[in-house]
Amino acid sequence: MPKVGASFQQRNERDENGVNGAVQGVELTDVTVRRGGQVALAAVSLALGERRIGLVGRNGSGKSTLARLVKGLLKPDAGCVRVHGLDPAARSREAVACVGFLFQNSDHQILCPTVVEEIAFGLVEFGTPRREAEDRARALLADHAVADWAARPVAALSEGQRRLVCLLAVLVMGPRLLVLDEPYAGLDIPTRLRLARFIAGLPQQVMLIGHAAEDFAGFDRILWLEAGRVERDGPPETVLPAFLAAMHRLAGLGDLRDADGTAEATPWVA
Amino acid sequence: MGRLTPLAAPARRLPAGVKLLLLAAASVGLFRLGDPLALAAAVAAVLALAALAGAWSAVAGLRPLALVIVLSFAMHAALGDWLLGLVVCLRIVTLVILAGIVSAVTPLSEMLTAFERALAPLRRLGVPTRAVAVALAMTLRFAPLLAERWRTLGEAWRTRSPRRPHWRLLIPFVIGALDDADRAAEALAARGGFLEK
Repeated sequence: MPKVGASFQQRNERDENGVNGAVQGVELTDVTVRRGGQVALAAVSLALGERRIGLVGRNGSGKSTLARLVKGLLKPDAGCVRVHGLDPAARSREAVACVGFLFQNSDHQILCPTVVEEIAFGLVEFGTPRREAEDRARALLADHAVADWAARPVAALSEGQRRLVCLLAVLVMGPRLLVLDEPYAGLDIPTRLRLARFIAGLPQQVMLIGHAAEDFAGFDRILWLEAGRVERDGPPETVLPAFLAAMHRLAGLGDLRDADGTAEATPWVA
Repeated sequence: MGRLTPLAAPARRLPAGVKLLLLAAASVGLFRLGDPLALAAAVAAVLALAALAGAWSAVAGLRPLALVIVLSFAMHAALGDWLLGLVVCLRIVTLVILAGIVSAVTPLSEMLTAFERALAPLRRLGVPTRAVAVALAMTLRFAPLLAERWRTLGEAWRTRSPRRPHWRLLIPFVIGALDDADRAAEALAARGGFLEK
């Protein structure tokens, strides 16, 4: 994954000037989301303008809910979500194009049988003629030194290769904000390091869900979610150590068995 | 894949639409052909074509159909007309090999483009052709994925059961497939699938 397509750079320069004077970044005002009778987010208010924002928290803490809200895959039950002044759940062309979303499992994202079609998909949906869209997809693959993947069936790619295809399929649409749901899950170490370097080089604003401190090198701000609320919010050097210490404390308490060998009552998930 | 065979390059270069039209014409021709000797010659011809175009995989496409072909012949023979049975079976064999050759020498994206072009006149009648094309592409994407899901469910079964997997796998399979459908809908939404234009 050597370099980032020049088109993204241009896009970013335009973005920094702001479009229509709209608010930059993500704004949540008193957002509550209920899922399956439980509160997934409880009256959360946030203004996120930093270039690199990390989301940490336990399973079920609300990270994915927040990410899905920002992409517009979920609607808030109460409150208001705005991304660059747009309502992501309105499914307007501008709102869909504004935010790119990388699914945690590549197989949940891929819709087409071959690589070139998969990357061209979003462009075609936005009205680019198929031939032109596929030419742009091929050019993007060539930019990343993987031109020979174009005609391959996605099923023939490795997990790491599929992750790159998914990311390119999102980037080709020129989003201003990228939401990455655990992009490093299931990758081997070299692939993970290359992907991290690739993400670090992207001009877009990035919101990334992760678990390890190394996922957030160079990040500006970390949100630690706990039971649908923001537990801590600040720079990584203060939030991450507190988060990791708390997680290790929980693991210690939640040991599977007591000293006498009887099963512990502490549940796996709070 | 068949790089050294003489017809491989021209077969690939021929536009997908032309290949599909030739295939359609050949099917019509085969159904007008009733002479078993002529049909046997047709089988020989498509076998030669498969060899020349470097598309031997097309012949392998017959394997899942072997039972159907044998049963179809047996049925006709039992009903007293083995000659008709032979004619029917030779037709099936010829067509399956021919279709296999066309798909072996035509990239999927070209096939889809040809398909979309053929549908284009319907767009004027208000038929959402893009939706049809996307559905076709998604079928091609999800068919192997569902087969893989079935296989992994079988594996999961065998790791914890001494007995062979049976119909009970259908329940997790269907639930999983419905889950997949929900996720595919999300993935479509995330990239602007079927936006109102």
